Amino acid sequence: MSLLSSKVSKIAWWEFRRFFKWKQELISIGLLVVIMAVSTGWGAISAVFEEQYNGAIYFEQRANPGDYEAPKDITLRDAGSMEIEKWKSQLPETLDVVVIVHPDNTATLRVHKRDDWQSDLTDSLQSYLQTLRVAGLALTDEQRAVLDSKPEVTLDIAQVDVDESATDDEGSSELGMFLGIGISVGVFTGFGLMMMSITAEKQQRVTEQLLTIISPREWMDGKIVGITLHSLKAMVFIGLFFGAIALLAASFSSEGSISFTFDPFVVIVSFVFVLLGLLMINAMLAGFSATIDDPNHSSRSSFMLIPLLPIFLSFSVVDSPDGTLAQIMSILPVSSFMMMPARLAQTDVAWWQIGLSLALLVVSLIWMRNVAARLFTMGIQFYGKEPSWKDIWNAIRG
Amino acid sequence: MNIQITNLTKRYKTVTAVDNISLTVNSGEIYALLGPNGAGKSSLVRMLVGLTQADEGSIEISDASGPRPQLSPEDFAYLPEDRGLYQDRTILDNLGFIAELRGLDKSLAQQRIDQWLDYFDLTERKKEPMRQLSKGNQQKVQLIATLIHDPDLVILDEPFSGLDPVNQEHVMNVLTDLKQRGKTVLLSAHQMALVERLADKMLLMSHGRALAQGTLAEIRAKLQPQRVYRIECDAEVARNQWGQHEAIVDVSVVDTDLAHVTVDPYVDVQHLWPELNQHVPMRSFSPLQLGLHELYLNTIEQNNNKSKDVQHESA
Repeated sequence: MSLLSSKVSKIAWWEFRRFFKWKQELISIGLLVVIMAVSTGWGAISAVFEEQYNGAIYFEQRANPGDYEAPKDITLRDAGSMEIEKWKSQLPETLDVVVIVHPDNTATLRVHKRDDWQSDLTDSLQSYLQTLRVAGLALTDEQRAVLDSKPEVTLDIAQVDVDESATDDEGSSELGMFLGIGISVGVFTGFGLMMMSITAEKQQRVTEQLLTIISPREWMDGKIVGITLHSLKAMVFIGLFFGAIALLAASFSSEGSISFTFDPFVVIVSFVFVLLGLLMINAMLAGFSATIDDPNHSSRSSFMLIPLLPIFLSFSVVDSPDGTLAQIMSILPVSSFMMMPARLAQTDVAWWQIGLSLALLVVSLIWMRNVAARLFTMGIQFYGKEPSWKDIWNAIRG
Repeated sequence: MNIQITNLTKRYKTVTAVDNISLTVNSGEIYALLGPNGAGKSSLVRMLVGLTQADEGSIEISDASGPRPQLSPEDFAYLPEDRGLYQDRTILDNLGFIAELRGLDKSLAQQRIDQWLDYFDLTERKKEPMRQLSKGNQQKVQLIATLIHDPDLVILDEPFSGLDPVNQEHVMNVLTDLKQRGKTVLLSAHQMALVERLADKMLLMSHGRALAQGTLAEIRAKLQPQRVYRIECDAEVARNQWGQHEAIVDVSVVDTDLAHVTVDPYVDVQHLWPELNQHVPMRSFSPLQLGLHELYLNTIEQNNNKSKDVQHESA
């Protein structure tokens, strides 16, 4: 029976619509749009609201005057000695700061009160005065050059078949982590919705009538596909959300912009892994949920977290994609749908590993889908009570 | 569509829910399963619709073209005892989804949904979520969902529960209409007065076993072998005088001038009446036929007493 037969696709679409609340979705999308709008237009917004500070600077010994450049939100004009004398007794309201640079390359800031913008000015002055200090030393040009530059450290990579462009990608481990977070969101979405979907149907007495129209397998398949669509939707949304946050963060930083480069092969293979993995995990969760009568009173609900353990473990090895543990986890079906995309984003993965991992994932999905249908068939025969672990084991064995 | 059930048995760990039941339902008949809670009616129905498997016995389905290997979803409708629809979805959503799963095309489904909602006065409320409806209205929507594809065989577990008398009558009319159109209906119910009017045949069950089955007349003949008469006379005097007579099993006083008299089934009443009339004058007499309700109560009570006696003896 096809995973997407006519009835299965109808159930999948029904399941998707059941948990798709337009109001909540619109609020989330609205929030996302606001964040994206703010992040893209932040430069203009901050320029409008940026406060400007006025001050004056006075060099007690004008050895190297005129070349100091204050932070962009602070305007300093040169002050004369008479003005400085006058301002020593009272700082005028028109000035926010008076900077006095002493002959020993130290400085004093005279202000009305302490404020955050003064730390930027302090840092800037310290940097400038340090330059003056170094300039005052009797150093050769060569010595100055040594002082101005950092010692070089070279990374020597012994593995010759590794694609340098992949490993050198700045931020690729962050991308792996980001993928992991997205997949976790997808899995947790499936966890919550599948549990709610199946147990609520039992409590609302919907199941028995429907199962005279369709088979338990069709019912389970429809649920698995429908809830997986929700998991993907949650992942896309969280991706866009984090993307907007990243844009916003970049607009605050000095770099001002971020850029992504995608290898289409990596994207397609990763999507296949994520899709199959979510289908398999949701099948696993469907089977578990079918053995629970009332989630409020069942001790079995907590056992549903066990399949999620490998996903958490994957986070600990996501930044060393060529490590032994990462390689093993990218092949085992319980974690491969998270680890393999994370590895593909960071390093070159051998073809045989991708093939083996994919084959194991497909086999696991088919097996898990059958187990879910068998557990569901068994679960509905326990009216008002839960099957024992022995019953569950017998159903799993078929 | 015909159903032939033979020696059907279903056991759950320590309980025999259905014990060697056989019955035949012919096309165009309304067949009622009667019995107290826990009698095994729902277990029998669940086996029939394929939700559970029988431990012993067989179920054979046939129609005009011959035997059918099994019931297909298009052939039958099932209204379970434990029923419900999606509480957070509207009436239209629920009915649309069921119709879609039943394979109806959209326009036909819409047409039937409109007709049924109109029949049950629910058109105005079709966009309301199920949770906002009363239990009776939810029951009506559930019945619509069951019948939306116009099946040949309709299996209804407690179709009248939760309905007021007006809507019970509505459902009666629906079932009568199904019968007139040649559909087969198998139902379980506790509303004896309705079943008496509606059912062609019935099966009375208790503790998983069949106590009696057939038409109402056949059941009455089996469950009411003694002859009971309704006699207008001085009831108290009659009880004192006739109570001692060897041909009289029981005299119960219904009113001061009305008694129900149970007569030994082997006595010739033509000779008995003149003799009784000498002791206590009778103004009128007529045979009394117990209704299904009384038959049901008496039989279940007798059966429960027998079960207790058996348990007592075995202890």
